[in-house]
Amino acid sequence: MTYQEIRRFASIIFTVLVTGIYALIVYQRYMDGVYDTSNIMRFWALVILLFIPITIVLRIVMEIIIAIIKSIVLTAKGENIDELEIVDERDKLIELKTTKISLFVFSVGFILALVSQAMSMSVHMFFIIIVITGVITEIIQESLSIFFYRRGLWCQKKD
Amino acid sequence: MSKERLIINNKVRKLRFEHNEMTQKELAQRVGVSRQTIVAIEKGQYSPTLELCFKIARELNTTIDDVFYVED
Repeated sequence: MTYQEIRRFASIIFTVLVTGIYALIVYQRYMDGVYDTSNIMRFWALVILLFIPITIVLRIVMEIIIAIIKSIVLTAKGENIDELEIVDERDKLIELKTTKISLFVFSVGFILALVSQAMSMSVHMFFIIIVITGVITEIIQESLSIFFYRRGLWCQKKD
Repeated sequence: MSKERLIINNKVRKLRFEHNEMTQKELAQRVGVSRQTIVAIEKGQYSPTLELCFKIARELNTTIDDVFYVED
């Protein structure tokens, strides 16, 4: 696997683990009655607003760990570390294509969340669908990146 | 307007070897992309931008027509 593929794969694992663990903790505290759920919107606003900085900090830690491992491996191989820092046109094109597709996926999830409210489901369902959609979007985006890096953006006949 | 997609091939690998056996890494550094991008170009998995095509041709001391061609 190339460095980009490893980063994408690590990102998928990171997203699933962090979101899953955070969701479990919130759910457990919710069942224990720790949260004031008289105002559902406020409850979800606090949950999501707290999730954002936690994710940012943990992602920074993950990137630092990957960078350290990368440096150790490359130094052991005697390769140039700077080579992997290049973000060239192919990387940008792959990011553009995957972002476009992931935006579509998230839009579908958002519409489903709205449908849940149109069907008079709990407000909790709206936010749960949004969170799950966010995770699925991230997984699809990173998976597509891996696919494009491995199989190419398009296939042509070879010599 | 034709919607037929052109199949563009290249001789980057062949010309690289003919040019003092330049490695993929060397070519990548000279044109400012990653080695994986050069690999993808040679495998036909990625069509570079016009600018990159010209850079590759320049580094291989040839014209863009000699590097990239449309397969019938």
